[in-house]
Amino acid sequence: MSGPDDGFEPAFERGFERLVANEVDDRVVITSDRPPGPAGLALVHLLGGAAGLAVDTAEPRLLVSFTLPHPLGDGERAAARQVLGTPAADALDRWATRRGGDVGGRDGDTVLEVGGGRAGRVRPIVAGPVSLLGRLALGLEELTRPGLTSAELAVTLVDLGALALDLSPGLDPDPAGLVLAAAGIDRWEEVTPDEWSETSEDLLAATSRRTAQWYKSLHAHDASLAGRLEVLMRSRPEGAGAAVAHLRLDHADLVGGPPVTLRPASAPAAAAAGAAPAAAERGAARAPAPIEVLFAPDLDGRVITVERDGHHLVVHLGGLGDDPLWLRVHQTGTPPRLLAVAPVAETGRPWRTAVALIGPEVTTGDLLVDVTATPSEPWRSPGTRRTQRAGHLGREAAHRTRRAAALGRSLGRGGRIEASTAWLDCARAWEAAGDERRAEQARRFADDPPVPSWAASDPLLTDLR
Amino acid sequence: MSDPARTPTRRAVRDGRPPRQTAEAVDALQGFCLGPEGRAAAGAELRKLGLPASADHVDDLCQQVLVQVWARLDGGDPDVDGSLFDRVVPYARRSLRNAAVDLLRAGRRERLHDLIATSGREGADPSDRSAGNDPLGDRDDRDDRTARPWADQEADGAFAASVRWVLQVTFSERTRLDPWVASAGLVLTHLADHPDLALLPGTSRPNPRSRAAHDASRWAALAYAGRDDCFETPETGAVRQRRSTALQRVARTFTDAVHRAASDQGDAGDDAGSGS
Repeated sequence: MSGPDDGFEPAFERGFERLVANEVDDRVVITSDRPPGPAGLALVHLLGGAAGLAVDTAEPRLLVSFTLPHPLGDGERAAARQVLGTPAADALDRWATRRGGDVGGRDGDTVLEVGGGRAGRVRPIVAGPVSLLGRLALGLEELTRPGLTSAELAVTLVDLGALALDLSPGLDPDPAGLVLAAAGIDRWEEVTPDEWSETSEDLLAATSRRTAQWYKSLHAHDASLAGRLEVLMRSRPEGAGAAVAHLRLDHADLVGGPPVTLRPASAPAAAAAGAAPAAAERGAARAPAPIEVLFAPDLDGRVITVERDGHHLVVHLGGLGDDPLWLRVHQTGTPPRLLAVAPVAETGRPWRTAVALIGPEVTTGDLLVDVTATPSEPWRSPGTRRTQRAGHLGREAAHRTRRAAALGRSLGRGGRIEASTAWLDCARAWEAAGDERRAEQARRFADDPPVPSWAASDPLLTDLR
Repeated sequence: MSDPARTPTRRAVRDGRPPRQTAEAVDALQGFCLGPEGRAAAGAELRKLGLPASADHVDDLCQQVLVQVWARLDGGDPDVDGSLFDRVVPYARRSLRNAAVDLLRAGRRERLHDLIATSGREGADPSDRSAGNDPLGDRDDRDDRTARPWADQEADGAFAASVRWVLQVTFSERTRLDPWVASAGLVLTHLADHPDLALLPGTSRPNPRSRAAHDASRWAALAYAGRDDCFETPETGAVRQRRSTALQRVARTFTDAVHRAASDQGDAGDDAGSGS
């Protein structure tokens, strides 16, 4: 893994030809000349949360935007220098000085072409390993990928924590490196041997290779946390089978020896499926109008039946796996008004069922129904869902591309085919969303997928599952 | 009477802020988000990201920001300073930008914070939540208030919609309300408005001769919200304790939402009375 002593790496080496700065309220928003591609963007907060850096998910070396608080203080200027490079940061500084404290203009009132308005490339002069920022942004987004096991979450949190700690001083990512690492170690201490046994060998091997670096990064900032990591690495889970990898480390490894190696050692239902329609009160007239059930962008479910039965709505759903999910019922309006949130319950059969009590007043034609893992999210119309779905498929395609690079030997040609197919799915989704530019970009990626420079040699742990 | 499904209810903010200041901020927020200025800003943000600026996209962004900023005005978040009330439109404008950006993100920002906040708490009882994270339920367990305002307005179907709106706004900031609590609270609004609604057969009910008999609707709300772990058999002491804790949370959440909705209606009435 790259560390703070790796020398100078270019930040967003080919990230932009031109930058534009906008003054928006109390922020300066610096955007590059190309919007994010078909896989969307990944965001990392810096300066303790006061600044935000967005990179392209498929090509995380590409800067999408950098947002700083206004007026620019020394910390903001230093961060801009690291992220954008000296020429761009100097231009930004000159512009900010000319603007003085005059903030609060409406968006778009003030535009600065940091590169002088010409198409000349602004090449950052690099003051540290800030290209790691793109990797950190992507890693944090991937960390929230559904379905990660406790063990995968634990080691990924520590990995990203160490990465955040290794960034140049003054960037101050949020969440902080120590917070991420501590959360990872907290989880790691709870991981059982059985859970380790479910972890892929590739991920365990990468964990093994990185533990010494993690220890060093942590030890430089918090010896106590590093000590807890050392204990974990030395532990031998009782009863663990031969397939269970646990981490064992000699002190020499921790203080600078060669890379260490892993050594094998030791939801509920309010109604049962099928019961609800027969059981629910049938006092109100059954509405004949069809009810459309929409899905969150990351769900591939299908509707088996949906039935308004008096003051109940009963929905049977297939293809949803076993993650916790909720059925939401809104009433049309501006904004739509929430009527019910009901768990999508396991039934012991190949489908899941949700029964929502929606009251007798609302007419069936006014119902808006969807299924989601995050019921607090706002209601989305079908058009917006198509955009989100396309972005989701792009993120999946980018993940499969990196995974194929990381596991090239074990996946073989199949990995590349899988990635290519995923990009074609993404292209179709962008086409359906009415965005031909991103659709075309995704089609190009199907033939020539974008692989981050580190994806094969130093992959994200979440790409090794 | 206006259609409660079409027009958001004017809301007052607790924590000592004058209702009129809040009402003005909410009016400004609604004027921006539902008016041409907000729609133009939303369209501009979408185009900046190279996204389609269709009516669907614009409506979704504006309505999302309306609910989310409303929730911020609604109080309970110590990070919200007073300047938000004076700069609600610039704040909403910035929220529009974030909402547009979120369309191109994984949309799991809260989950990252959950991962960090809940580390080492795997398997914890979901009802055993820090009260500080639940502004609609942050009172002492001995809170003996009742949903009395409901009794005063039970003939008014709009009141149930107002209570649901309070729950929806609070729920929009996910860290403030667990899904099952929101689910149960919404069920209670329907049952309070229509006490005779038939429940699904098999819905757990307290023994009619027990002291818990008056809790029947809350038991039903828990059941509809999927808290089957509160009704496991055999009914051990742990199950009873779990159910008791969950019932208290639902009761606090619902009662507070009812009082807030009643307070809002009072504010609206005051405004009407003063000609504003």
